[in-house]
Parts: sequence; C-alpha cells; structure tokens
Amino acid sequence: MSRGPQRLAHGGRIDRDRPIRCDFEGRPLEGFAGDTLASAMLASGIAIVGRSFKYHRPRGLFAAGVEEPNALVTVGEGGRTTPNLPATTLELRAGLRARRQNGWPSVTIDLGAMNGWLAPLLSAGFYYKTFMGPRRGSWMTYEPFIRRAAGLGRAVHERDPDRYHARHAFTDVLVIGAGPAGLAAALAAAAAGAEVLLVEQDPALGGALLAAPVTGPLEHWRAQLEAAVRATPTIEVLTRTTAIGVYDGRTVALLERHDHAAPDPERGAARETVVTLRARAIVHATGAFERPLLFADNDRPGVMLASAARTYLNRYAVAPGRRALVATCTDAGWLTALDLAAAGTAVTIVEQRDEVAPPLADAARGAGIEMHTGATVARALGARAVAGALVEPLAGGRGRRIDCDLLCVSGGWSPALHLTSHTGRKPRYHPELDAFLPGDWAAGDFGAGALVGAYSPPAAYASGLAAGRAAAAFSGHARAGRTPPAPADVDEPTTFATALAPPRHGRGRTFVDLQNDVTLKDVALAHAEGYGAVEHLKRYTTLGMGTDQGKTSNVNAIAMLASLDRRGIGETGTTTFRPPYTPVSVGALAARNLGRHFRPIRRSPLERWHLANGATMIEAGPWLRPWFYAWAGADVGSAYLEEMRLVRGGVGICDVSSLGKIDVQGPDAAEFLNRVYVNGFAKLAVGRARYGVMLNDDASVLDDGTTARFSERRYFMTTTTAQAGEVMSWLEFLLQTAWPELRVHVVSVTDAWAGMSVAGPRAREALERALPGVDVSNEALPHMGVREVALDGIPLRVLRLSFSGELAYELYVPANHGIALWEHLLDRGAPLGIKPYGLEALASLRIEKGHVAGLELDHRNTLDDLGLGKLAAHDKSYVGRALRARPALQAEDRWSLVGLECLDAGARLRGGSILFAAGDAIAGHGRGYVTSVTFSTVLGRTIALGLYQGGLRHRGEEIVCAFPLKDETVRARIVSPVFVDPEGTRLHV
Amino acid sequence: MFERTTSLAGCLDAGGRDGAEGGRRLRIGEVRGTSLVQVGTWTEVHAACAAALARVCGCDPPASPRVATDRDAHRLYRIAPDQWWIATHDEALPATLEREIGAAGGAVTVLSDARVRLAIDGVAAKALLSRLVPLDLRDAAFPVGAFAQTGVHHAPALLDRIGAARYDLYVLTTYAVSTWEWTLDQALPFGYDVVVTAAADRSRPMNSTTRDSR
Repeated sequence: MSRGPQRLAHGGRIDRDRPIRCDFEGRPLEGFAGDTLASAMLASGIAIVGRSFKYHRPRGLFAAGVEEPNALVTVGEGGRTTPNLPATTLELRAGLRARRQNGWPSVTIDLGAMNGWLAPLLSAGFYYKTFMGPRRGSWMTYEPFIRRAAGLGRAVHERDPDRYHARHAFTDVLVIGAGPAGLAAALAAAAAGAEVLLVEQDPALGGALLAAPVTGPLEHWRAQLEAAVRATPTIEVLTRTTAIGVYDGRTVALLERHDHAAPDPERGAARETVVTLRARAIVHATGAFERPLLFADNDRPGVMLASAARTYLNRYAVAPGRRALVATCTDAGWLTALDLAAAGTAVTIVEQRDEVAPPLADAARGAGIEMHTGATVARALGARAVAGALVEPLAGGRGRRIDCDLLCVSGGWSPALHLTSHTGRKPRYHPELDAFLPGDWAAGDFGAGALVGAYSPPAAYASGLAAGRAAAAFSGHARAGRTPPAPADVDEPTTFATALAPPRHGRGRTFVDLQNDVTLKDVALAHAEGYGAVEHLKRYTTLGMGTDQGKTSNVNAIAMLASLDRRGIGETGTTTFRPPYTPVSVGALAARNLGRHFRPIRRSPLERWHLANGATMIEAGPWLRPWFYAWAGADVGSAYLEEMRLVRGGVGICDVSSLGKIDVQGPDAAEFLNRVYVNGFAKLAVGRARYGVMLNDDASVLDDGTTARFSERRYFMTTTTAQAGEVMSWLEFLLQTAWPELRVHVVSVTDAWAGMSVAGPRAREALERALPGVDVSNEALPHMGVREVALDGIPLRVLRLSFSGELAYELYVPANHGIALWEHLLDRGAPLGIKPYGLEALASLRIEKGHVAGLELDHRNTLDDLGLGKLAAHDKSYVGRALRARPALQAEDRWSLVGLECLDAGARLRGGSILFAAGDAIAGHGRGYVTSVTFSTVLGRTIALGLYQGGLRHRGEEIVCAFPLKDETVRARIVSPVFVDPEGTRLHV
Repeated sequence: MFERTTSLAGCLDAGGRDGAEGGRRLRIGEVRGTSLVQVGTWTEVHAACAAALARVCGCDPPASPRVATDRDAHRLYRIAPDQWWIATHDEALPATLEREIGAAGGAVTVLSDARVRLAIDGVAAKALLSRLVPLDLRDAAFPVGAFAQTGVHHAPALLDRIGAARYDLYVLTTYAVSTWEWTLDQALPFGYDVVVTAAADRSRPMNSTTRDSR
C-alpha cells in the first residue's frame, strides 16, 4: 500500500501495517502510523499547505518540526477547534480533522492573493502609518478588519469539552531533548546515581538521528542508546512533551500532549497536561534549527530546508521531489543530497564554497550528483511551485537556469537557545560557528550537543556525557558509573557552518520571515526609518513574531540588520526569547481552573441549611453567603425589605459565620490588644466585650470588630469578613517582628466556630426560649456582656452585640454543631415569628445604624474620616498613633463620613455615585462618593453613607449625586450617618 | 439533641467513579472523630511545655517541622518554632493539655471543628497528590511519617504521609467542600471509591465500600 503518490515503497520509520485515514478538509487523507499530518500531505502530493500572512502567497512545507512557518492548520470541530498548529508536529491519527488556513474560497484558489498586487503599499509599518486617522481612535475602527484579513486561524467561542490537567513533578536532573546529546546526558546522570527526567517533544527518541537512513549505522546506534535509556529504571522518559518555559530556581514548564491516545474527557483523560517541574539540575540538549538561504522568491512551494527534505525522505519515506536542487554552504546540505540521490532523485548541488571536503565531493560524484561550487541561487523560478532556480557564480558572471521541483536550502545552524534565554541570560555570537550560543549558564544549568556547537553526532554525544555527569554532580550524585561509548562508524561531516554569502539583488521578493511575510526590503525600510535596534525591528515589521517566533528567520534578519549598520552580528544581538517556546493552548494554561473550580469557594457551616430552606446565595469575597430567603420575597428587591422589617419589629436570625475569629491567648494578651487597638483594652473585664478599631502603620483604618474577654488570658477577637485574613497576618507580623517579647499566641478560629446573630426587639425572648438555663436578662448580660455556657454538653459563646442597632446577640458554637443550634433557635423562636435574614438585609440594617463596613474600610480613610476619632485613647500608644497626627491626615477638607438622604422620590441613588456641591460643574472627581446605599424601611426613603469633602461640617446642605456611566443625577441632603436610634436606646433594653 | 454534622455531609454519597483506564486506583474519604489541638508556647517556658506534651501524649514532641511523631492515639506535628498540633481520637485530650500545660506554660486552642481530615489511599495516591500540592513527594523527600504545610487549590492544608500509599490532608472546614470537589475532579482519571473511616481506625487500611482497587 503506497498511501500517496510520493510515498516510497520502502524505508522510513512509519508502520506500514497500521494504515491511518484522517479527514483533511472534508476528504480522506491517508498515511501510516508514524506519519505526521505534514508527511501524509506531502506523500499525497499536497504542495500548497497554506497562504501567507499578508500577501496570501501560496506556501509549501518548509520544515519538518516545530520551526515550520507555513503549514499552520486548524484542527478539530466545534469547541475542540484549535487553530495555528504546525502540521509538522501533528501525529497522524484516526479521527483527526484538519484544514488549512487563510485562504478564501480555498487555499488552492485564494482571492486574497490579490494582496500581492498591492505589495508595494503593504510594506513594513503600513498599518501604523495608514490607519491612524482621520480621527483619534480611528485605529479601533480599522483593527477588527485588519485582524480578520491577517493570516492566522481563528479561535471559537464554544466551550471546549476536553479536559486539561496540571501537575507538579520533581527530579534530580532534567534533560531537555533526546537527541544523541540528551540521550548521553540522561545515561551519564543516571549512571552517577541521579534520578533523571528525559523530555522530548517528538514521539520518538533520537532527535536529529531520526533523519538519518534507517538502515545505516546511525540508526543502529540510536536504537542502542534508546534501549539503554529504556532499560535504566532511574530514567523517566516523557515523549510528546515540550519544555515550554524555564523559570528561576530551575523551575520548568512542560507541556504533555495526549491527543494520540484519543483521551475521553468523560473518564477523566486529559488532552494536554502542563507540568510544573522543579529540577536540581538541567541539561539543555535542545539541538539547532537549520537556517535558510535567502534569495528572490524563496517562498515558493517546493523550497524546503535541506534537513527537512532529509527527514521526509528517511523518516517518513516520502520523496519530497523528483528533481532536487540543494543550495548550501554547509556539509549538511551534502548529506541531504546524497540521501536524495540514493533514493533515486536527480540531484544538483549548488555550493557557495569553492571547495568541499574531498570525501564528500567523491561521494557526490559517485552518486551521480551534478555539482556547482562557488555559486548560489539568485532566484527561485515558478509561480505556484518551484520549477527551477536561477544559479549565479558568486565571483560574478551570467547565471543559468537549473530545473527542479524541490529546492533544498541549507545556510548553517541556529542553536535552539530559547529556553536558556528565558531566565534572562543573553546569547553570545560565535563567529567561528556563525551562530549564537548561550552566553553563560546559571548554576545548575548545563548545555550539550548542537546547542553548544557540538553538531556532529559523536561530538554531541561526548558533550552530553560530560553535561550529564556535571548535572548529576550538581544534584548531589557523583557515583562512578559506566555509559556506552560512541561507536566509531557513526561520524558525519563536521563542517556545519560557514560564512553566509549575502543575498543577490534582483527581481522578486526575498522573504526573511516566511510566517510574517517580512522581506529584505522591509528590514531595510525599517532600518531607514530609524528602527535599527533588533527589538525595534521586530515590533515594526512583526519579524520573529507569530507561532514560530522566528526560529528560521532570526539570525538571517540579524545578519541583514548588522550589514546595514556595518556592525558585527554579535554587536547587533538577538531579540529576547520569552516563554512559551512553542504555542500552548489556552485550555492547557487554564487546566481544571474553570467553572466551579475557577477559584475555591468558602462555605459557612450552615450552608446546607440555607440551600435547603430557600436561600438565594451570593458571592462575598471568597464566601458564598445567603443573600435573601424565599420566605421574604421572590427577589432581593422585595425580600430584603421584608427581612429588615422583621428585625426592626420582631426577631430575625442571620448567619455571621464568615466573620473573622481569632483566639488571642497569653499572659500579655491584654497588653497586646491594647497596643493593637486605638482604644483601651488593658482593663477590659472578664465577661465583657469591646468594639475596637485598629490602624495600619500609616494611620489608615485597617479593620474594626469586637473582642471579648473570656478569662484573664484568653480573648476572642472578631473581625470583618473582608479583612479577616489581613488582620490575622498583621497580628502575627506584629508579634514576630515588633513585639517578640510579648507572650501571646494568636490562632485563627474562623473555621472552628459557626456564628449566628439573633437580632430584634424580641431577641431576648427568643434566647430565653432556646437557652432555658442561661440568664440573658439585661442585668446578667448587658450590652457588650459575654458568657460561655454549655448547651447539651456543647460549648456555646453568647455575646450581646449589635450590628443592626437592635437588641441583638451573637452566638458561637463549634462549627459541626452549627446547623443543630440554628435549627434549635428557629424551632424555639417560632412562636415569636423568628425567621432567617440574609446579607442584603444585614448590610442595609447597618447602613441605617451608620456602622462602617468593608466599603468604608478601604485602607484610605482615617479614624476621623470615619467619625471614630473619639474612640482613640490619649494615654497610651497604639499602632498608627504617630502618623495619625500628620497635618495632611488632620486637614479639615478631608473626605469624611456623612449620611445622605435622597431628595428625589423614586430616583435611584447608586453606590459609587460622585458627589458634587450644588452648583458645581458635574465633572471630574467631585467632592466625594457614595459608599453604601439602601432603602430605609424606618424612614421610608433611600439613604446612603458616603465620604464628602469636609464631612459633617456641611450637614443640612443639598448636594448632587452623579452617576456618569448612566448619565444620572440625584439630589441628596447631608445628614448624620446614624439614621436609626442615634441615642442607642434600643441596644440597652 | 445537638447532632454533629461535618461539612462534607452530603458530599460523600455520590459514590466512586472508574478512571480513564477503567478500575479504581484510589480510595478517598473523610476520617471522622479526630480531635485537633494547637499548642503554642514561649521561649522561657518551652521546655516545660514540651515536657508536659510528652507526658500527656506519651512521646516527645517532634523537633523537626517535617516529620511527625506519634504514640497510640496521638500524632504530633511541629507547625512552627513554638507551636504544635496534636491530632488524636481522644476527645479528652484538649482538657488534659490545658490542665497539664497551664495558662502560663502555653496556649491551647481546640481546632477539631476548624479542619476536615481527608484520606487519600491507593496506588495512585502520589499521582493524585502531584495534581493537588506543589511538593516533592518522592520517597526520599517525603517518606512515611513526613508532613508538610501546603496549599490545595489556593486553600491552606497540612499533608501527612501515614503509610506507603496513604496520605491524610487536613483542610479548612469552610473550604472543605471546595477542596473535596477539586480533589475528586483531579482523581477522576485514576478512578476512586469514596470511603468514610473513623479516626480510631487510622492504623488500619481504609475500607473500600465498593469495588476493589487495582
């Protein structure tokens, strides 16, 4: 079975016993296990793999790996759609559905190719120069159309049904890349006693060796190395795994791909997994990319990297052409030529050097290869595909046409130093190799193989052994161990680099960056317009952007820029390589952090009761809290008012478990609290609680709350829900740094206690019914009195506190008994009409009472801003006291707390409204803003709290509340922030 | 009258699931009946407090912040330079400690209701945990007896390896449902049974309520 007109009858690493059929643009595409989508396309004679980014020029396969700039395809349907995947990295598998991109009506016949006629207008910077006017902001109008016209695939909006995972991993030595250097490093590190993780982006081990003939000595050696690695239990091998980013501390992000296994998300299988790996040492053996030669129309389908042609030929058993011209300046090109000739392809070599090593020349001669030395390709010929090349002597003279349908290019090698650059280490240019290599190494990082200029297999292997041993030693393993030697018969030509001849000038466009359609002319234009720095060149021309990130274009572009500047390549430098090394799907980055797992939800111990009894829940920070209950109304707008009336007129019960709760213990606990709070706590009696306010160092209010004293050395602090964590951290910080001499321990017990507030004029009656043995009379338990009792053997803390302004008690019981106590209170209070009330009513009741909460405690306001200045003690020190006296914080025109009564009946006063004095122009930041707003069931009108310049000095004034987003203005009057029971008589009944 | 209800009540009835490769390689559940106490002390009374702990618990409190010690019903963790946790199924322990340590010797705080104790057991336990915590769980780094204070899905947790393939996680009560759902979601590829055990059975393998594990 041939599976394609260009498939060779023999050879390759494909499994001819496992034919595979996939869907390519609605038609069957056939191949074998071991094929990539690209090799199957090539075998089937599909020459045009896509249309170029800007000019919609037809493009063919150019590479065989992750560096492929042209063959970007969209894979999958519906929510599984993934655009912009290189066909060269997609394993052929049954069920694969793929289509080419950026052509309309098709890639084969693309009307977008008309852009080619407009090419003179579409030079670098065209968009920036053209679409900036006529008005400011016009770019926003044009941008969607420009993006639509650009040549990348489109993502979809449907939900991706697949699963993506994330996990952590650790190892002694991470080896990135499983070519000869990586395999050697893994074996050497393991032999020294280290645990090794070997990651390889390819499905197979061998790296560049996989491009060698399968019947040759290199394959024999590769198989031996693989067998040795597989047989070593301390080497874990992850294929189909790409190291996409390297971060500080030798933390490496790996992307595992599982598509080949047809993962079933319903059974928990993932399509991709991101691994956060921490390694004690890393061996980078990432290899090198072949560089193209530059000449006019070098983007014609059929122009291909020589190494890619060799890969398609030897690995996939696909003849990339029938008549090949190999244009080269390195020995690597000759290897491709020899292999092509051996497969029966007519081959011509065009070598820039005047001479090559005699064995190569002899071998080429023996293979019947036509040779031209001291020459280069000036231009590719043909329209929709290569039909020939114009070859010119470098020394001058007339060129000649050589017919071919495959034009292989080999212009040297660019080490894949992206990962080593991720931590900020700059590459350094090595003229003797005509390549950038990693400039230096972080401790624990080591390099091997082509990455460090050891191109030939034996050299790569030797460097891998050395790097593996060094990495193992760095990780603490230096056992003497044996590694297999490199066989003597696997050598290949070692002259892999030479000075690149400058491109010839003439007709046609010479593309430096195939993926972004950036030409030599664009580079020159950018330079002429002042974008001479390599980073500026990148931004101005888009060179090096896109999915391939310039893997085949960077060095050529830098060389051109250097020549324009008459500087050295090393002096010109490279752009900055950042993660990811290859594109990563958004799904893999999100992993399972989506939907209900987007972030953790904090739940009250009473939540199950709320859900079973008609509560509508609302997110409040990390918490899910009851917003309102169905008994009070079908929607919050009506329900919270009914719940407020219940509390003002009878008795209600509210879940306050989310309040921060801190156990404060120790011989110096009183002194500690006295320093933390602005008001005095040193003399708080056992059995009493006190409202307190604590400040940040800068005198802004950190939080408020109530702290109760249950014994000489034990206190129970409550904080706001929003600041609970911050207060806990602050207390720990103070104890560990400011006052280590204090013998105090603080422990968060927020999770330990369920809390509930019983509030309303009949609250005492409700408690008397529920707690028959507990004296809750005003005499036994006055306002701010606290008791610890036991109820059915369960500890219960009763604190007479009020947030609503009504007679109220907070009850705390161990969390796992919360529902039992809650139900008990409801049961015994039923004759009184007790019902639950939610967060909306709770927040509204406190606005009526003028209590500040999270919306006012935003770390910008001082005690005096919030009307709490009188609380501060004058005879003691406390955190924030020193800076509280700063003149700026004492200024009379500071924004400070006021109450607001809405004067426009029926108008909606919104939180966040900007406050203006009557007569002010409604513009800018105004004189303050509304922090909290509600409808007062007591007053029968909308009321609010706000911060206003000068505060209550403007009491009685009419002001304007503006909400520019809705173009609304509402009149309001400044009043006291305490709307209900300003004398506090209800608290003390 | 006052029934005790854990945060996970209602979460444990859903049963297990087969994994991606079939079968169930994990047993995951709640360990009930654990009393958890935090003891804190101060430098000048540290030795006396440690001695009292040793006297009450029958073993010296651990010096290492990474390895727990245990004796009979009690398991001790050093969670800070001057703080320990004691997990026990002896409900009287908090009162005993308060009495023995005394208010001047340290601070005793009961956290029994502040944490939910989860157990993860099975051949895939380590693989599951690699998706939950950023810890090196290789045997050399995290042997049986090791513990670590860490985080699971943004919420704090203490992980305790109490067997070759058995790990216990102490998670905040208010995050327990969220952590449980996250854990089961991450466990799906491996397959799992849901089990409930009593703290007093800690030393025995978790009982599978459904199918056998692979």
